[in-house]
Amino acid sequence: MTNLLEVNDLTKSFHTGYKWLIPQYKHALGPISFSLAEQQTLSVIGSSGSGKSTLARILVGAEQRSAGEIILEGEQLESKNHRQRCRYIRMIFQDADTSLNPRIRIGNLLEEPLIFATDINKKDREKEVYSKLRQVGLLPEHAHFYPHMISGGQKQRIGVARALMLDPHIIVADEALSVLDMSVRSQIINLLLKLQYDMGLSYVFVSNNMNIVRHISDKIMVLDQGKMIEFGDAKQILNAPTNDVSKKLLYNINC
Amino acid sequence: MPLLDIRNLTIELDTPDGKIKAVDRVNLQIDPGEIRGLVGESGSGKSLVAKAIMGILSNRWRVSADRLRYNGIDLLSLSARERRKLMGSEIAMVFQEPSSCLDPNDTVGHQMHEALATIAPDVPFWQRKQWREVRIRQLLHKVGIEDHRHVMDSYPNELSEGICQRVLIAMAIAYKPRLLIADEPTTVLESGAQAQIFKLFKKLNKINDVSILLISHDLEYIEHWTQKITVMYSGQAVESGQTKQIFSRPFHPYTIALLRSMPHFDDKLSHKSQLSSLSGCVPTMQHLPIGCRLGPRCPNAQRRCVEMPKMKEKNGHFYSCHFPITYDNAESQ
Amino acid sequence: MARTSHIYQDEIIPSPLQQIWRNFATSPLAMLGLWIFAIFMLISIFAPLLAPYPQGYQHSSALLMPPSWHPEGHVAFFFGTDDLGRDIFSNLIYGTRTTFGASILVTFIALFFGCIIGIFSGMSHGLQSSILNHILDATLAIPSLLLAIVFVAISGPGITNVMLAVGISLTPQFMRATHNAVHHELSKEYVTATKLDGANKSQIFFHSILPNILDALVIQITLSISIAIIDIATLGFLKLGVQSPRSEWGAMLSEGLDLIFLAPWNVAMPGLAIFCSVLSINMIGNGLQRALKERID
Repeated sequence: MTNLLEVNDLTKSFHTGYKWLIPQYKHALGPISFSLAEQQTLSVIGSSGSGKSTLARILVGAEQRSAGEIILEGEQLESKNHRQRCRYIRMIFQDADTSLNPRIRIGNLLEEPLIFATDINKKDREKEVYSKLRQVGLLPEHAHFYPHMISGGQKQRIGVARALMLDPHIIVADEALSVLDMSVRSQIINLLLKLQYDMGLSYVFVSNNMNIVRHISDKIMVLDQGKMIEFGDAKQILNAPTNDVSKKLLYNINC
Repeated sequence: MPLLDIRNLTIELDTPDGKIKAVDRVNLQIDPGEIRGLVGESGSGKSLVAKAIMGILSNRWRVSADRLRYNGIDLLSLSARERRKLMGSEIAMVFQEPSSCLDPNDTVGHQMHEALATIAPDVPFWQRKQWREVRIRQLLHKVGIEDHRHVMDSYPNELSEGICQRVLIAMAIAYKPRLLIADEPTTVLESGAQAQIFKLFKKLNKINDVSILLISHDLEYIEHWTQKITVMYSGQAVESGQTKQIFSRPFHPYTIALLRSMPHFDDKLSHKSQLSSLSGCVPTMQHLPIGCRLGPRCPNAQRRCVEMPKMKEKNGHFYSCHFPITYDNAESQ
Repeated sequence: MARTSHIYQDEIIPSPLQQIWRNFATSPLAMLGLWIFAIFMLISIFAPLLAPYPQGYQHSSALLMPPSWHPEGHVAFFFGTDDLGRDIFSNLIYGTRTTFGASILVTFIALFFGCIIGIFSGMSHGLQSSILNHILDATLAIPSLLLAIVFVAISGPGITNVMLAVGISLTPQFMRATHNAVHHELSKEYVTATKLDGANKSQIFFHSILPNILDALVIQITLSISIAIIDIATLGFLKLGVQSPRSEWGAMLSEGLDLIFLAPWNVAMPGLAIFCSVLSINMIGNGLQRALKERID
């Protein structure tokens, strides 16, 4: 089974200022290596400050890596080429309120990826937007609404629709469900599972909710202060974590 | 006598499209020394209920109730000044995002001094500051902050959310209230900090006999830390009673759907299968259904549901549904 | 996307612009400001048709006549005349063109140039952005009136020089406001999302940033118009602006100053005109600020 995504020795350091005119760097993410196959879900867990959001953003292109390589479907990924990247790997943002432009109608918002990265004409763009809206469980009429008119769960569905827009192969969800209520969360999880089954998507899921992680992941990666301390099959890690930190994370549900 | 007695609380909003009942005839009772949970999704009106008790809703909202009594005193008939005095000394509230409730321009110590400023101790005025320092130290130790010097000298953005929330709880209990309303206090915190806050609430409840109204949308925590709960949906109270009873034998379809949506509740789910959930979403304020507001989404809904069901009681377990789930057989639905 | 709505037929979804207008229209003060502004605009456009006498025409028979409501006044000279026999009403109307009309023109020119510079500096990153930032801050420190006086003193009086001077002094404010607004928008999540969709810089600007900075720009426009009116009137008052026979409110004020005890209407009428125009702009600005803020709530 060829790997859809392969990451080798990815590191990230942030520039934190100058000391005696020498730039100082803070090492945020240690060497990380992993691989992801088709129709697989990788969950990244860790306490806050462990670098999981940074990893998600680097994979998708919102931040640039300091070293290491990312190989998508056998091809090396250039650091800055967003146009190339957005056809393979897309992101669902955490807070749907801030990631949707409040001044544009939803239909125009969903059209943007098509306008920027493809050459489809207007009529086909409309059709594509309506079909994706239906796929995430909304009506085509919602394309005329503004973001402030719909509920939080629906906004997150728009986030999913936007991530699906260019038919990517991998979707990165950066704590996309943590701000939602429980019943809405289950609906979105059902939607993601169905899409994975229908379209063969792979997910990189950053989350802190162990119950969800338990339910949907095939592989788990545990991060602690930027270092990858565990990576492997989900069942294995859930039943027998080898590290103290992982034990604390996985079993800290009931207090 | 219950400490807080609310009956048929209705909160209305005047809009260009007419009057909208954001909260529709909710009943709530808190006995002294009890931790009560108020559960509901966002949009269910639970924050509105809390703010109506405290009297901090803006003028756009109209609050009316058959009974809104705290310790026998009718809150709706009080003037603003009397209400303020009552709020200061008897009821306290803790909000959702702790770091945004603290002034970012001032150190925590200075803000705590301000919070205690209106307590009038029996010491001469030149010793008041010293007295306040001692009292602040005691309060911070009580909420579990050992390094009080460091916390008092820091600004809110330098402290973690968990510590900020504990500082706010310390300010809230400074006046020794009898009722503490916590509006989603742990939603933005990490799981470790969440556990500590709940332990703190339990300690306050047991040792200082503080009643707590815990508002949350997360059922996992409510189950462990409360004795009685009320479930709200879209402004209506659908079920209320003892926590254990509701979790083991819920009557209302909405409660059952909520309980089912917790993945670990039903361990029979196989890996990566579809979770059970109610289709549809919470109705918006402009399109509230008539009668029972769960009607359009409820799997058991029938024609009678356009009539608002009355609150029925069974062994201290209140529910309002025309077609509740019954447990005649041994197997639950 | 057409505005079709099969299911929610009872709801017409107002666009943000319509929402802002609705909020604006609920405040009577703001609407009053808007009406006065509209009246001034109409006067400045149709000035030659409205004024009873040509500009600067001296009636030697009617020197220092009081306004028409005074027992000695005459309705033919509605606001009276000055010491050279010029009708104040006609001069005020022609002066609207100069003071009010010119200030609006100047504001929009400053807006155009200031915005372009502000957008380029706002979209830059790192060292370039830092340098431009500091330069813009420095230009803000220049007092607008002083700059205008120096400019006019160098290149001589006249309406074009006055407009140039006031325009140059207003541009830093637009540059700064645009730069701040654009820079603030760049840190928002939806701009990152647009970047990840494969947009280049100009596409990011026009699609995501522009609709959101219009608020700040509109408020800056109203502020600048009121500053421009006062600056042009001040330059006229200092006799650095237009020369007679062209009339201008500030110049009329300074000419009437000697006669303030004999014939107060010479000073009161232009003063009232300046006052009303600036007040109307400020009321509109306040109403807009409130309407924009309410829309977010």
